Amino acid sequence: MLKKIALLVIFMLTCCGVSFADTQTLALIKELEGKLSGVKTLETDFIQKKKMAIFAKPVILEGKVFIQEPDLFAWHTNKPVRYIMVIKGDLIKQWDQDSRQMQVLSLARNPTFSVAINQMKVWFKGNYSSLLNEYEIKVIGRNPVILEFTPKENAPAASLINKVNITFQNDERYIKKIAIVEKNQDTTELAFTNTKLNNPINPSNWELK
Amino acid sequence: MFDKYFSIISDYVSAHKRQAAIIVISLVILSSLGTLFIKYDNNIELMLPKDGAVLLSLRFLRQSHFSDKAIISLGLNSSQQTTAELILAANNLVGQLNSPLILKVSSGIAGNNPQEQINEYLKFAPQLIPPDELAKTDSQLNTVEINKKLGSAYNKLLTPGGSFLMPFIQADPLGIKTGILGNLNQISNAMGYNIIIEDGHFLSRDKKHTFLIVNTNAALTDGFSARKLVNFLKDKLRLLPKYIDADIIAGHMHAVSNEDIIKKDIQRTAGIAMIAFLAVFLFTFRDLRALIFLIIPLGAVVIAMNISALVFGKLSYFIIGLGAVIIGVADDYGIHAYVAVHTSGSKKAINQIAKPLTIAAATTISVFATFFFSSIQGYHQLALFAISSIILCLLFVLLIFPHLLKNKTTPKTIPAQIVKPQAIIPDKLYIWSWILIIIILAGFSFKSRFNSDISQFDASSKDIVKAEDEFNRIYGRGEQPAMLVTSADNLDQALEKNEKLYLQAWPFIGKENLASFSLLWPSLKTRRANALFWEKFWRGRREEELKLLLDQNALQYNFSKDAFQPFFDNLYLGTDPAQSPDNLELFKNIKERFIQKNQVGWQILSFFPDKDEFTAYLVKLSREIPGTFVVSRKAFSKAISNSITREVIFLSLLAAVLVLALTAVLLKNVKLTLISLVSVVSAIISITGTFSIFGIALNAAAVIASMMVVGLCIDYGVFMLYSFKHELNTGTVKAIWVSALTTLIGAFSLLFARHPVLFSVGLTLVAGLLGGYISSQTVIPALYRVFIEKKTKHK
Repeated sequence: MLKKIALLVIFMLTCCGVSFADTQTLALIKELEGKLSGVKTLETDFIQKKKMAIFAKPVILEGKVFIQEPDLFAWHTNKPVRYIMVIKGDLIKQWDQDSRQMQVLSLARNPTFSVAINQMKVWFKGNYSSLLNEYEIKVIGRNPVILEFTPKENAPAASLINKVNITFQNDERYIKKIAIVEKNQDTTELAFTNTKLNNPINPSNWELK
Repeated sequence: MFDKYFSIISDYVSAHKRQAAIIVISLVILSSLGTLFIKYDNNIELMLPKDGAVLLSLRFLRQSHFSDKAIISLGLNSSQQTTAELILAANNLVGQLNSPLILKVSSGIAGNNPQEQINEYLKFAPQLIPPDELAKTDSQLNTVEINKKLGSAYNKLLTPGGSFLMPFIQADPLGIKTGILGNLNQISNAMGYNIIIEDGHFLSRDKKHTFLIVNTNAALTDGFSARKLVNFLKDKLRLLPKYIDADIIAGHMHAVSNEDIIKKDIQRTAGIAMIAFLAVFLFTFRDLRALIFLIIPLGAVVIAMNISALVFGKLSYFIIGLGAVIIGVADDYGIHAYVAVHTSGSKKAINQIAKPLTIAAATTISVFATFFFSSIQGYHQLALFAISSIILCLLFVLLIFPHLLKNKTTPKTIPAQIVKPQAIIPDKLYIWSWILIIIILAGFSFKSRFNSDISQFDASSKDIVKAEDEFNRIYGRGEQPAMLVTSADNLDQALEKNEKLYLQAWPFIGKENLASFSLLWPSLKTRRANALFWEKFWRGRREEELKLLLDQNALQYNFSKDAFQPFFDNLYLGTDPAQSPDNLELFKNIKERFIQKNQVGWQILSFFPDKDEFTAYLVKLSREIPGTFVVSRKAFSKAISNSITREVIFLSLLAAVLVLALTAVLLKNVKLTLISLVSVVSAIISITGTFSIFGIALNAAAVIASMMVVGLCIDYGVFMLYSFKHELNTGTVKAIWVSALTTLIGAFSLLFARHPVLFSVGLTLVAGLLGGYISSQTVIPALYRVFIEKKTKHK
């Protein structure tokens, strides 16, 4: 009998513990979202390290990311190849040094690409509570804050992604690093440096050269 | 001869008046009870012509699966709530949608990884790529081209969406399957909605809306089931959280709304008409017994409803909606009889007017009788309903009504009307004024438009239309495409025919404009030929050649040794034509939209923009291939318009011949017959002019109502001229005034109807009757005096 009561107490404490931790995570996500929602423009340098089974050696990309609310997003890669992608609303414009041609796509008409771009925008813009249905979210670091996103079993992302870790800057005003581990063990690490928040962005950065 | 037979029948009824009264009263009581058991129908199909093209489209729409679906659109109305909460609410709702009326509820695509689904589908490339396309690959099997392909693949992998592209690049380093992806994209876009799939749910781009597709067995044409389904869904939507807005998008909503509106219209118009009838009778005759004029046509209409229901099984609400007008028409005979008796002070006056009344009824009946030659079933109902009402009313008036006056106090004598009122205004002024007005109205008439779009007869509430517009806005749905339908006994025959049609059609329509299922899944014959060529192409030298080229060049683009092994692993996987991607959710969903099975066989739909030039070309093409046809909203409208035009010309000519013949028989004079047509001409010009002045387009309902107007207005002219010719002292002017007024009241009440069909009929009748009545009271007497009376006096 005593054993049963002890088990019940342990069970209840465990449940309470989980519930408490979940509430804390949610509160933290809301807090971070609150801070990120204050970001109206962003300009940052990035270094992206991709380890993919398809490549013989890791690939390191360097470039810049620009975001301007409500719907402008630009990704400029300078090394190893020059590439520019600008998203405005439903339209994506791309340019690369190889073809030297501008390609315009509609997200609505390219569902697969659209999924990829939407995922990327979510990680960059920080509206993480929209991911609660698809991902289990854990806080794995406090100083700096590190969130770990694991796709739920039946979520579409589960077939592609193992987990995503987001590391915030010390002042929690923006992201410092994004690390993605894919299902096939490919990894992508994206580190942001020289981040400027809410500074005017040169309009030329939304144009394709 | 007429007088002789009328006297025999009248005397017989007079001798058996008690029995006659019992029979009539019993009939009316039984018929009143019978109306409780009549089944009503609000199906607009009843009001459409059964022309070949129209019939084909209607049959297709009835048999297709478009009408057995309802969409429930859900949206967040608060920015505090998240997409996750929207999806949760949608899931909860799905769990509650349990009813025998609901067969299946889809909230999205199960399996839900589009990338994986597409990759699986691409494994069928051997069956999908035509030999001439694959043959082009030969030119790529060299170092220069391979390096180009590898460089391009490398660049793509470094873009932000690179990880998503990786499986496609690994499985297809040469981009051989790019064409299939393009086809898939084109077909997906033809689904008509701009949606994203998240967590297996259909979501709008802003992720604030989702929708459920409900498959139901509640037929659109079954008003009872449609209402039951709508009520069930509404009940369930009330249980949703407050932060969720919900709308039902379904044909069933239109069916229920239309039925509600037309029922309310019938109540409203009947109420207005009854009050106005009572007021007119009591005010004009100041005699309570005048109420009998209301009771007689009412009884006749109730019996006629039962007769029509017995013949047709179901009665259209549109026809019953004209009940007030029919009463207004049928009561004319009673009014003429009453006025004649009271003016002359003798019941024998009935015998004097029996002949013109019968001829007048015959002209009206002849107009309605022409409707039996129409291919529109609704007109058959209208004809039987109106003719039965008129005949019954005439019989009651001529044979029963005189006996009701027996042993009653003689009513106060109404001063006799002057048979041919002396004109205060000179006759020629009347005639020239009339000519001027007719010319002005005719000028406006040239600007009148005809609207053949059947959607104008949809009286659904604004909320329903608003919800649909909002749904189309959220999901970026543009104009509905037209459809090219291919049918055959079995699926493969249908696929073969569909493919043949596509190959013939795309050079004119353009590949980008024609979404054909053959792009996604060709016929067995073609797939077999493709697969055979694929095997021959790769087996042996080319497979080895490509492996070698990739091995030699991949490393300089940082590709690993096994980077493209998936291509070689899957190379011959999809070569068996017996295998199909039917287990893929993505393929199944598309197939469901493009392929339908019905009792007769299989139908494959292809979609194209509903443009005249495309439709005309495909209609021509489909005539050459049996079992194929085009379903287009615009072409459907045009076919209805053409068919109605043909019907109207035929029916109008028929009615004109009958009316003229009967008028000539009664008046026995060519000049008088021509003069009697003045009221008809005035009525028609008034109708077209009025519609044009108000900027309202004429429609099928208005055209048919115009024919009713012709039948009624000719009576006014005929009565006037008959009474002039025979110098009758039967109060014709007053009788015409009251009967026109009551008919106008019946028609006027329809102007308060919200249903566009009833409103159109009301406007037509009011404009036409006013024109016809005024001319019969002013121009016809003037013309009679100028052309008949004066010449007779000169002689």
